[in-house]
Amino acid sequence: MSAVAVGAPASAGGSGGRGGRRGALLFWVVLGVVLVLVAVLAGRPPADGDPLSPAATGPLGAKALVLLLEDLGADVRTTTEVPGGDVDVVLLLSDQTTESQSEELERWVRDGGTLVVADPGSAFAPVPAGTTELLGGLVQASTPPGPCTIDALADAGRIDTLGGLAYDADGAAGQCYGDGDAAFVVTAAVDDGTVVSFGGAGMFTNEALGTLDNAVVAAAFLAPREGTTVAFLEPPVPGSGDEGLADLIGPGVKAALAQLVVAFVVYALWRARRLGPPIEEPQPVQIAGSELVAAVGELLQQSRSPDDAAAVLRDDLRRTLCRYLGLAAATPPEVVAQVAADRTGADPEAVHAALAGPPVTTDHDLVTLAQTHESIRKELLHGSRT
Amino acid sequence: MLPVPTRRLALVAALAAAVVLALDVDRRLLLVDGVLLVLAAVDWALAPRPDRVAVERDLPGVLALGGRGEVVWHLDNPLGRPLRVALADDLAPSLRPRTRRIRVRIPRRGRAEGRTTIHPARRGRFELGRVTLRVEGPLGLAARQRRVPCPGLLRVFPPFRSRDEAELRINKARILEVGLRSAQGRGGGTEFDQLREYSVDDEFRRIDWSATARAGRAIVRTYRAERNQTVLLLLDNGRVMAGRVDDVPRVEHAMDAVMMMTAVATRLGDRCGLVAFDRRVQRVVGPAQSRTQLARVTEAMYELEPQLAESDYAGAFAETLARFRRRAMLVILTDLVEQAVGESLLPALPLIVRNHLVVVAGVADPDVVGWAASSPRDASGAYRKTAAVRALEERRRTVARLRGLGAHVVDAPPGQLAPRLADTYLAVKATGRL
Repeated sequence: MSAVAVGAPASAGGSGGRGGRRGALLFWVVLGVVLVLVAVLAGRPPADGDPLSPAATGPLGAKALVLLLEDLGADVRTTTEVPGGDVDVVLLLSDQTTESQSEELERWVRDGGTLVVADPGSAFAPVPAGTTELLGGLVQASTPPGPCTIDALADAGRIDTLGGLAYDADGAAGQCYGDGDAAFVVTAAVDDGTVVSFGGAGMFTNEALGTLDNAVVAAAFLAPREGTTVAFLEPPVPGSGDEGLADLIGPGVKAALAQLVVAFVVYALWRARRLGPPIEEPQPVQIAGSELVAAVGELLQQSRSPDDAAAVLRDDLRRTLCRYLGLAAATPPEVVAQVAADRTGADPEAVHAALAGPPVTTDHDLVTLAQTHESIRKELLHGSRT
Repeated sequence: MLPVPTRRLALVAALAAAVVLALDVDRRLLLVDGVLLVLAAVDWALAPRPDRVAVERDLPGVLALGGRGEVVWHLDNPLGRPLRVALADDLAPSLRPRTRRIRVRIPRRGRAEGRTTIHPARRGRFELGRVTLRVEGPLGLAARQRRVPCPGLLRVFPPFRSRDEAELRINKARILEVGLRSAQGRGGGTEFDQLREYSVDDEFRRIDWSATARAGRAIVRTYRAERNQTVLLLLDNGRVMAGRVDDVPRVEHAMDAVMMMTAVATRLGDRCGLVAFDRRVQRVVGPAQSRTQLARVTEAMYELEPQLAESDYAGAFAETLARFRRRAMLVILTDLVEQAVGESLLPALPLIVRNHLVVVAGVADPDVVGWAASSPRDASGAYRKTAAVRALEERRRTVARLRGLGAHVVDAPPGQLAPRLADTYLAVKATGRL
């Protein structure tokens, strides 16, 4: 009973420890799943498309502009490459062209193309004006045409320039929606072509295109006549292109890295040349003296004859008790049990059962018998009860 | 002799990456590495040949198993500039050296030394042949390496673990001999020693009445143990002695007993010898009483490794009888396993038991004893207990059969074999049975 009482808390403690570890593991798994879900949901692209995308139908998209131009008879394309000569107008709402693309686009304009830029940060746009006070500090929901020198916008009225910039109109081929010094729309002639710069792309978005004369102004440049071919130039898909990471590394750094590889090779050569050979030494035999006994025990177990094993144990106990009690070696078990009971006060039934009980048929019975023998041995020979 | 790059060369090559980064010329990598290569080649050419460095090794010569010793390497530089030298010695792993490689800087025309400690885990003879020397060039960028001869010999002897027990028994036996304790009991011996005046502890039966009448006071005869008797130790070196008991092979326990018996017997005036055998007799040390006999016996044993073959007891006994005909106490140190004893030792025992006093000694395995007395918790434990009980019973039967043939048997656990065997020897002498 005491063993159970002592063992129970240990077992409960062990179970609690396993439960605690399992709970902690579950917590981390749940936390991981939550983090993955948050990353997936937060990183998912908006359902109505990216801002200024010609395919986006959200408030900041440019799908309405595409539909407007198509309705006016224009042939609208979306491309990531600089178009060829079959395109009349290229629209650059957000300039993310590479250096080579910019050069190619500039050549296309010089050859007679019309580039409409609505990104004040673009290299194709003119320098923004030092002051925008006349435009109401950039923020003027309704901007009048002002002194307009662009023929295409002669009949256009107020537009919504919210969030845009004004360009310095000095030297521009044409200007509109400004005060003469600065304007929201300026045009510049580049050889045979034209660059039309808008102070912002806000007026081309789905939510702003229907406001005031925004659509009129857009149509005036992008679809001046039926059959105009318009190309939306979009940034290339991330990961496309021919350049790799190695192209980003300078030649000096590459050479230095190669030198480190050389240093590593030298280091490997140094390590590879062993100082002194490995020493061979014959090893002595490493067999436990008790190996044979352990092997015999395993064979006995595999033979599945617990009663034979029990007979060995019973005979050993009987001989031990005979020696201890001064009896002849061949004394029968019942006599040994009775003498042991008489002299030590032990239970004769228990001693007799241990010496000559019923046949042992299972391994469990054999274990129990062996434990009983040791208890009797300690009790009778050493005077201690277990 | 191939050049050996050094760690310094690798370090310089790594640092050269900064130079490569800073340089703004074509083929800068080729330029920098070319310079490094030229420097390394020049350094290698200037490095002296390793055999120009003289090497000597100081070894303890003899160590007891489990003891510690120091190995010292001396290196002489005959050149006019200092040298950086690395050395690797062929120290066997079982010597357990703290290190077998050193790096030293030898001053010009000077000497340097390196040292390490060894702690042998195996006895035997260790012949050291050569050392490997690596000598760096003046820049330390390249080196030459070669193995050079440096002979040496280290002998690791078996440990004499029972030395204190032996001293205890020798002193006790001497005290008994000079009669400082009561003559009652079994310490008196049988050889007449002297007459002296009676004291209260003396037995009446030892009073010499003639001498008492002449002297006018009580005189007793004192006896001492017989001297110059022969003890022959027959050490089994066969397969049964290879099994490890208490983490060392059985033969190690037997060797400890051999040393204790030799020490005790020779110090008490008897002649002691050794015959070590397996399939054939391997070592013979003739019986002698000199103080160097223990060293001779130890030296005869230190190279013995148990042979995985059945021992030829009959052949060993026949050769022993042919060499030493005088009656002796023959101590056979073996294992008392039933199969080996029953098939080999028992049939051969009649050869020697008729004219000699035979003692058979073996070391008991505490693992087996522990298993037999265990209270198993599972089936494998129960069956192992059964096998252990059966093995011990077979051992008891073997002992009984040996005793039945007239042999004395000592079956003792590790650490007790040598003392118990010495006690048996002293008891035999005290009772004059030899």
